[in-house]
Amino acid sequence: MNILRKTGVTDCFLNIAAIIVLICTILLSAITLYQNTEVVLSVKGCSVFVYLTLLLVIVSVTLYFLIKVDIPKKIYIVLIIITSLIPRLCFVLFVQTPVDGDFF
Amino acid sequence: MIYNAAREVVAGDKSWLENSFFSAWGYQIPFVYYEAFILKLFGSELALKLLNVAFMVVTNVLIYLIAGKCTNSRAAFITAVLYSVYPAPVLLSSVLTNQHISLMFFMLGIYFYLVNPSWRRALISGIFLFLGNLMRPEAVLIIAAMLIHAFIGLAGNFKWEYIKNVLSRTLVSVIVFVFLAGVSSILFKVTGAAPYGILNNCPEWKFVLGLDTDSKGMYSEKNAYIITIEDPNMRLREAGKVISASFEKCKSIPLFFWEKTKIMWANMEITSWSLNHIEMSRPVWNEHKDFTYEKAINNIIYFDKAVYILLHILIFIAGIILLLSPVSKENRAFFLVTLIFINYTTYLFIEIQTRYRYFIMPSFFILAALVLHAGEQGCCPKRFLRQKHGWHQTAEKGRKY
Repeated sequence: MNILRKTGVTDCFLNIAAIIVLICTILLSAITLYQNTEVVLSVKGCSVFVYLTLLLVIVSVTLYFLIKVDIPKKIYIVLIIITSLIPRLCFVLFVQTPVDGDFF
Repeated sequence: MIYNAAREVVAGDKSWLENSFFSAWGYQIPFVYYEAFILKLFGSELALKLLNVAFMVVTNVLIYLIAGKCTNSRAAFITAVLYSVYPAPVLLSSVLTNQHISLMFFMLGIYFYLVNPSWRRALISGIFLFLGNLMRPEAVLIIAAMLIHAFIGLAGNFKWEYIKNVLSRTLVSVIVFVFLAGVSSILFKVTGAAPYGILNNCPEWKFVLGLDTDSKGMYSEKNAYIITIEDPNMRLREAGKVISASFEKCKSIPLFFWEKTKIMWANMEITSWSLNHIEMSRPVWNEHKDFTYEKAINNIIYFDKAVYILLHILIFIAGIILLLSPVSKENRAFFLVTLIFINYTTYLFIEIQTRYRYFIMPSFFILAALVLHAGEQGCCPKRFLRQKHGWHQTAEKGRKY
């Protein structure tokens, strides 16, 4: 163990492994991004880009607003529960998917 | 099929266990008993759906809590809210799938592994991973990420202290998981609850499907005869032959993997699981005849795609930030990068469906919080200057190996 620590062989190997994992993930996300754009263009779903712009604006504005005000963490959790619960509950209650639609 | 089996369990009928589906795919059986338990308790399928909603809300809160530990509460809040309005999981909420309950347990397992690690929490993490795996066997991906994360963390920490605390804690989670999985498997067999066990008794099948170049890795019954081969060695040989034949026939293997990746990670979300019964040509409101359900659903799908693209832009940036950060390998976020990488790699080889993205989406959202956090530092120069060691180390503050 001491020899390894002195030479730094293990450190070097593990560092390279970490970098490889990171680079591969970056490359894969870049490929996914490209393929998604390709799919959107192929279905002529231009409204995707409108939604994307809207989302970017909303996220930026919300972030800017949250920096200005100090909200307790408990409030954040309550807000997340509400925003998560409402669409899911409404979907379950109003859509009424038949049970034979189950899968594995 | 699973729901009907659960109803038979409630009625005291065991004939469903003789169905070849459950003898081949024994891992589905614990979920049948879970559904049967809920049906017995509440007597209605609605309870199962409402529990799905509850599991999803817990998952959403866990996204906030884990992202909060990787970044800060503001960035975590935004990504958690983004996940709450992300349509893909919402569209699955009314479907009786094992994905909701298992994902919640997996997220709990990840939470106890990553946040304030201790021996007790490592043990709890192992228990939650086991429970998630009992419902849907995907824990192997998380365990692989945990091991890689722990070993890569050795770089620069090659000390007894690190090995004693981090590596051994990770091993505790893994050992607890393996022990419980083994015990439960024996119990299910011994009690007759699952005479053929609760394992996948035909593991080659997923690879046969995933490496079928004709169907581009999607489900097809073309080679289904493989499942009927009872001898495991013969089945393995046959599966090998089928896969080799598939590759020999394929004009371009890289193109096959490219197309497969595109189907898995880029295709539009499928709504047929939950919305198949909806009459698409019907108007949503009688006053606006031209706004049909088809148009409404298409808009939801486009919004889903917008969130998905935004997420991948953020992940791409997060990856670069982590790459440039000198302590990235010790970071909690690096665990999520590893999990995403393993997930991407796994789906190169096994069967794909767009709904299989469900498992990894929370990791995408948590990782995206890193970019929002970095952006926030940029918005507030004073706060940025106060953090002497950069954004990534503030998240690590207070963490001791």
